[in-house]
Amino acid sequence: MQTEIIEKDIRGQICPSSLLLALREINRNFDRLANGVLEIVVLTDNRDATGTIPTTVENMGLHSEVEKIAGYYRILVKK
Amino acid sequence: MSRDSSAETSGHVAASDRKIHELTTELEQTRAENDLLRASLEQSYGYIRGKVNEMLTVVGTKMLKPEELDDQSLLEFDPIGIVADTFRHVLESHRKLNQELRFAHDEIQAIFDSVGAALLVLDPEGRVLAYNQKTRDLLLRRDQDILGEKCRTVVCGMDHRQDTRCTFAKVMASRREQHVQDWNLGEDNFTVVGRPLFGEEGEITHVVMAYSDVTARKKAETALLESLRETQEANAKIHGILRSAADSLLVTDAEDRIVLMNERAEQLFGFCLAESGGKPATDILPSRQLIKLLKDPDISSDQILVRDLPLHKEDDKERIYQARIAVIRGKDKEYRGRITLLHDVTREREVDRMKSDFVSTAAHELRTPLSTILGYTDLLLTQEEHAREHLHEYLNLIQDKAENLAQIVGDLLDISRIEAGEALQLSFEPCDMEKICQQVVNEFRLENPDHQFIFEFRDGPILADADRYAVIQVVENVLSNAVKYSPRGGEIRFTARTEEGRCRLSVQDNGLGMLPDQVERAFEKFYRGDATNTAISGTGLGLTIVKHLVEAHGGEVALQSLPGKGTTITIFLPLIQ
Repeated sequence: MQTEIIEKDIRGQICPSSLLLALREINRNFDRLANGVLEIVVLTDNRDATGTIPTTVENMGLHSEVEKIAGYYRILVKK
Repeated sequence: MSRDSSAETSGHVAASDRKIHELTTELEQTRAENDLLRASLEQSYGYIRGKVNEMLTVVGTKMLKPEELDDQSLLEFDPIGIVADTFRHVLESHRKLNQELRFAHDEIQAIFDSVGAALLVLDPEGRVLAYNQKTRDLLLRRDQDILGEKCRTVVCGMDHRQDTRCTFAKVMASRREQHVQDWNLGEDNFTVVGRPLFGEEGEITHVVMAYSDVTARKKAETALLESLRETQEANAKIHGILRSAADSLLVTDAEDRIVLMNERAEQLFGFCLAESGGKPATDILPSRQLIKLLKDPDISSDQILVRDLPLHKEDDKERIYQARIAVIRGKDKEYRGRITLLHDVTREREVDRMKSDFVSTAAHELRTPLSTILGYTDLLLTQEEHAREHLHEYLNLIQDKAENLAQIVGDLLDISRIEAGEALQLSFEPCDMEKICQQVVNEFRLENPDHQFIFEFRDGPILADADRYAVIQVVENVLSNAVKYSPRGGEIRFTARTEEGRCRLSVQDNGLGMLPDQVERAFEKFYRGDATNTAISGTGLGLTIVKHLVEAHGGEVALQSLPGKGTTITIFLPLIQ
């Protein structure tokens, strides 16, 4: 089964908006994320979000990986 | 304007004023209501922002500022809805996590109760927080509830700080897992493992103690060590026996691999067990005949196969070995391999051959004089007239041949006595060696007139302390060989002198001489340099008897020889004191 990937670009947003925007996308797709058929990639240039998003995601029973790319961060949210 | 019109107008004005007043009042009421509503709305937005910020604080992010999101957008963006949904997922995740933790706890509890070791959970003060049934069975002296009690009291019965082997104290001091072997409680022996559990601040919150009863294992280990020691001793004995065994021993398994060989076998085959490297013996043994025997499928369990094999040792000399091969079978009668014993029978087979040669030689030696005796006695009995003329001559011949027979029989009796280990009866007396040699030579000179006998006795009379008749026999045997193996007219030289307090007598001929391997074996019984040459008579006992007689006097005999040059036999005998 192929995993679908949704990319959410919230660069330019600062906390808490960046967290709320990411959470809104995750909540909308939570069942598919929890079943492993979907992964969400969040692009953010807000450093605080690299702490708050993964922490909240882990509390929701999901996993995350943060990757630093030139000028911004790539946060992968998956089952 | 009429009075009526004026009154009517005044009435209208009054009505308008009343209306205005009413409207003004209503407006003020509406304004006041609007102020109340506005205040209520601001209070509602404030409440919403407050709650949103509380939630955002819980998820660990910053507060939402009004300039970031105005009141109208606040309702459209619905942060409370977002955070509430998030919390719903978080709660669901935690519910599942709690369920898993409950299962894990139940599993651990089941393990805790059923594990074979006594388990104690202690707090940092050493008080018992939990324990399993095995703790009661193995550690407690009576059926008591020990929750809240200090372990040193209920388990050790002493202050653990005084006990250098206290596992709990070691865990608390090191903050690491600790293992203690050979911890004793009464006559029981335990292995104790203590493991710390840490809180969020890194402090030790619990210590889990596990006591494994190894008493039975210890006893088994002790018994096993004793068995191992006995096995090693037995093994050493077997190796000692194998090492000291004169025979080569080879044990092969069911796949024909060599599993045991002693030093003799290593010397014989030129490799050791380690060098055989688990290869089949049939691939590395140098003898095809031995390989054939090792693969012989017809040997039964109760049979020992015995065969003679020629094998080459490291010096490449061929020797004859008697192979004794037995099959090894297990209790289940399954074929386990073979044990092969190789006994060097070269000497025995050579003796057998020499005995066989001797029988034919002795028969020849006995038949020749017997034929002469029978011929002349027949002549004397049948040809009386002719015999009368040659009576003396014939009787001399018969006597001569009878003496030959007596000599051969005498030699046989001598060697038989020597073989039987009978001590020679010697009668010591001063023996003048020159006189004895002259006496013997005189007898030989009659039969061998062409030989030249030369005497070199330069030191004057040499008196040996010996048995006269034995010395005569020694000289006769040595001289007999010198005459037989030298050409007609050959020179036989007697040299005698004293040397290191002994009499040294050499008898040298210029005859056939011997090869080195013939020299080596010249004193062996029945050995003859060239047994196939029946033209030269002899039983192969002469030099054997010489050696025994000389050594019985405490003397020595030596032999030097070169093929085609001749032989010198040197005899050392004690001098008279």
